Amino acid sequence: MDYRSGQHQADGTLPRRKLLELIGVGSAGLIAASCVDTSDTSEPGSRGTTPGLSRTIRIPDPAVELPAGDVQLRWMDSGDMKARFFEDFFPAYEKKHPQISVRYDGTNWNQITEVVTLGVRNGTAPDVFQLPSQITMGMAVSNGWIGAYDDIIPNFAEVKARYPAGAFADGVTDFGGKTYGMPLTGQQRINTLLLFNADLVRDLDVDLHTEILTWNQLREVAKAITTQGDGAYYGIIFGLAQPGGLSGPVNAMCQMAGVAGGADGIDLRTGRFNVTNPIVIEAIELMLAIKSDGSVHPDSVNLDAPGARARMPLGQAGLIIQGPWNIVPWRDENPDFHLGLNLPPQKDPNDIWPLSYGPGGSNTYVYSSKTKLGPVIADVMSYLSTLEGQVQWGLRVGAADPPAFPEAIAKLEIDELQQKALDLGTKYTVLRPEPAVRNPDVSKVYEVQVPATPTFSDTLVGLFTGQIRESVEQAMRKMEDRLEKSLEDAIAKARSRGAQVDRDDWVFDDWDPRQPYTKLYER
Amino acid sequence: MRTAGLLARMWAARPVYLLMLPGLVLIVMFSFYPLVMSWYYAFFDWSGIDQEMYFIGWQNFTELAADEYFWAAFGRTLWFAGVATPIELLLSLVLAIVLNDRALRLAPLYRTLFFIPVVTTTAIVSIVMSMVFSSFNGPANQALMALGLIERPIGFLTDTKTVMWTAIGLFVWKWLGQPMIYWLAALQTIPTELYEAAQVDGAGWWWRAVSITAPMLAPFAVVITLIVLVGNMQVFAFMQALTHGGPYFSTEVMELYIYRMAFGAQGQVSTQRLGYASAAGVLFGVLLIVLAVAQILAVRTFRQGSSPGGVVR
Amino acid sequence: MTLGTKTPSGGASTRRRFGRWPAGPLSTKAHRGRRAPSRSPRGRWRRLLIYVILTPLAFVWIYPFLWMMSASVRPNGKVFAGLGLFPTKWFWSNYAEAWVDAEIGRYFINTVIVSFSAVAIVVFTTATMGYALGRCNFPGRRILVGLLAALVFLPQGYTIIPIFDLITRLHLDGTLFGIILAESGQAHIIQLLLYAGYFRQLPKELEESATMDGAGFFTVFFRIFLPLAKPVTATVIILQFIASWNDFLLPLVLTLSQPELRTLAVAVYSFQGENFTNYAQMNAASTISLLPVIIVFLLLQRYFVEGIAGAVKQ
Repeated sequence: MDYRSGQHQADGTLPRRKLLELIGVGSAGLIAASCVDTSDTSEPGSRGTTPGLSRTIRIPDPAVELPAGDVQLRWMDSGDMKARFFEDFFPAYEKKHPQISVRYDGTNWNQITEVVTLGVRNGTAPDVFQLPSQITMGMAVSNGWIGAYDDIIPNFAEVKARYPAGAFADGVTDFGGKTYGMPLTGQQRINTLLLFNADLVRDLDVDLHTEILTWNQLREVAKAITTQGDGAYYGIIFGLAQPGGLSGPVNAMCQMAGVAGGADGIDLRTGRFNVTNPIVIEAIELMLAIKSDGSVHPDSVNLDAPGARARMPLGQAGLIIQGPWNIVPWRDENPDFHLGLNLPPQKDPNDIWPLSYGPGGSNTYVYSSKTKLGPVIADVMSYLSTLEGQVQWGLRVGAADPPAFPEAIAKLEIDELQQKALDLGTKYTVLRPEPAVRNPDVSKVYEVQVPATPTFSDTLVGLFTGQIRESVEQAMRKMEDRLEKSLEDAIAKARSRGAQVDRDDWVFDDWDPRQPYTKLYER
Repeated sequence: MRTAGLLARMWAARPVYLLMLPGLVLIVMFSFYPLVMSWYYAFFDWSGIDQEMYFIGWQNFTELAADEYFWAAFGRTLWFAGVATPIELLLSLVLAIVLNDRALRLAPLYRTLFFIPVVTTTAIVSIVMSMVFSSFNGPANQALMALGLIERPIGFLTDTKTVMWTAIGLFVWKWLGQPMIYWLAALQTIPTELYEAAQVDGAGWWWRAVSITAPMLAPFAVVITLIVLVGNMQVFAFMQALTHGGPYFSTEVMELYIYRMAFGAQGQVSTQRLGYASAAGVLFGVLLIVLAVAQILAVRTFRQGSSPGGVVR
Repeated sequence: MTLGTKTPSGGASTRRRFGRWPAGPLSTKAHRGRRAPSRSPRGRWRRLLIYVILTPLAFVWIYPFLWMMSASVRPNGKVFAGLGLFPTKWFWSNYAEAWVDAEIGRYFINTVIVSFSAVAIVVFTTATMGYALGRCNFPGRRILVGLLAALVFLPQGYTIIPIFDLITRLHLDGTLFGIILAESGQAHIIQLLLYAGYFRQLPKELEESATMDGAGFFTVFFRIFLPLAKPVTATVIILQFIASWNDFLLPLVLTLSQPELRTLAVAVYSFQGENFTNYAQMNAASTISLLPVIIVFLLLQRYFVEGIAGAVKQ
């Protein structure tokens, strides 16, 4: 290319050469002015280990006959902290059974949705996977995509008995008397902890480590941090581009203020939606006030949850309301970042209601009905359903996805911060009723339900960005209309297709939201 | 016997059919078949994954007609294409004319620089751009502030009033090189003798541009406009990675709407509605064809009014 | 499906439009010779002005790429630490980690295989169909042109499920060949248009003399017309290469069950984990995947412009 040649031709030389010089000088200046000081940053450190309990994974001898020839087990889940367990466990398993290799994919939910929804169509789904939110377990069972654990694990009743009440439930994990979902972890976790940058809140009047903030204090603290940051960092950050980015925190704050069933949920004592509850409106108005104070990180609107999460250790915000899965990755990747955590802000710190969770556990694994590796899956699941397996899980995954067995949680020795998250989770969560357990036909309503759009999450973003100009109360009244219509339409459609349901299925008169509702799940 | 004549002609043309066969088979399999299937799905209440399909006639279409989000997305798509297309065409033409000057020795370098965004992966570029245009210390805001052009960072991707303009600007930036190359190619078809003759007659640069370049480019302009316009309606990967259609639907163009209906919003408990999404796609396509045909008819009427038989060669 | 790209889609194909490409001399040589640069002082000043305007503009134009490359050698904590492009300490470890974590090497080979094969198939199918549509008269021609034109107006993102089912039924799921076929089967209207317009204006004597020598229909096409269409072929190769290299949705859904068959665009996307984003590594992975296609363009760009010019000029 001729622009590279230094030779100049006779015509028009002088101005052009001058120009080239000018450009050269200009770019040199740019280069000189454009250095970024990165020298004070150390290379990321190695991952810390937890002392105490034996971390060695000992695979017991199989109770079933494993395949003799070389086989590959394909296992897919939403990764993250779970990957820290499986990346230790599967190599140990492969070592014990050299004929078995495992392809483990810890990936994101978008990808799981695509892989599973398309994979079940042609039988290429992984052997073991998690169901994306678009597929209910009932749908997967009735289409014959997933298999029952009763059919592959010989002493399954025994395995099942080791789990706490509510881990398995009809219409959730069990269908037609068989169990299709294996909940390896429990739900005693608070997904909306107040996580804070300890260095940025050190000079505040309030000690966030010990004191639970009130709603008003949240606003003041966010404002104080923003003032202190003077453009270098902000009070609080959200990931509004992801569904639940704002509605998640609002939901939890409302539940803990006594809105049973959550901000956009149904109060199962009455069967009515909560969105127009004055507490919900107050919580939303609080968030809008924090925004109009200028205390919210300006990119919040365009960030998804991982994006918002990644900004915290960069020191761009003082607070974030997210889950305990952040603790370990932040610490590993950013040794200079100091994290603190506490309960989310409370309307009345002296009267805190628990968060309720549904039956069926979390990280519920299903297996493809097309798999040829039933015995291998049975062997792996049996181990993971022992106290030993659950402890090994807990040692690696920590508070991010606490084990399903309470006695495994009790045995864990993990670092202070994770322990605090774990303890708060155990203390402030209770099991709630689930309509689909009392009447399995309710799950048919879930399958045909068209979500109320704009969703609660969308609506909060609309209010936050100012695109919805009406008052919060008006917006919530319309939200209630949409939610009602969505549910009523779905009930009508399910009934027209033979389901026996009505609105009373969503009413549990005897539910006390402060107590675990175990009687529905007792065997 | 017309039928026999047709058959005979078809038989006579059999090598032509044979030659087209591989290409036709592929297009039928991967372009026409999916389209036909989407017409079929449009009449069903179907999640796209469940084995159960319920025939519901025109119900999807009547629901769509009343869905304000469909129409908003439709409007946004037209608006996006309507704004981006002229900007893209004009800027690329100016660039092409400037770079077509053979005395400009660095022209190939500039040509390359302006074309680089075209060859890069859309999904990746969008991710990089969302960092560059970040409201918090994004390089774009830092530069504008360093130059003293703005006092406070602009919410390029977070302010609902500016986000669509940011998207249009970035889209034009990404694709400008393509029409630029087409214009350059078109410019090179103009015989240099025409310019030389005009120069001898003492015509200036502008006069040459108006009297020679413009009329010689006119026939290309139609095709280039069409290519750019169609491209500006296919913005899925770009918008999905840049904004996900947000904030609060403010950049949800038609393809994003269809995708949201077909596969559900990210991370949300929702039912997939492939039947409904298919109906949306079908309706969108039909509306576009109607618009295009109406436009062609209007142009034809106009041209026939001014010069009879003008459009048909 | 061309959701991930824009290049190959678009352009309507009506019979009239095929005729629009103005006829001209066959040889491109006449235009390759440089016109003597204008020596008037006014021209010189105008060019200087152009440089003064274009240089900063071009810098801004490619700044995002420079920034991306710069961010790829910074520690994650310093990605947003200012406008500057040159870190004082270079973190090449991002590349090593991106290469290992994102398995870029393997995906690179997949992408090369898919792109080259799709280019070969598309050149063949668009040349043959372009020849038939541009030069031959056969019953059904108008219908075919109308159908192809209609394809342009239909959004296609949601048609992925029928494509997926079809690939499954052909037992091509989880193979690179499936991706190649599906990509080749998209309606490549621009490419078709270029070939058709080119073949249309070639002189009639070409066939007549060949037929008199006893050459059949296929011989005429493959021996005479196809070699003549070299400039168009060059253009189609480049357009299709850019499109295939960057294609996203098709390789994404067709490699779901076989992650080891992913292409680069998909792999970089998947690199964004569910709960953690490492911006520095993300930028390193992006740089790795973008550089080759930029280099290919730098090497081939001369042929590209001349190819299009050559094709259009005919």
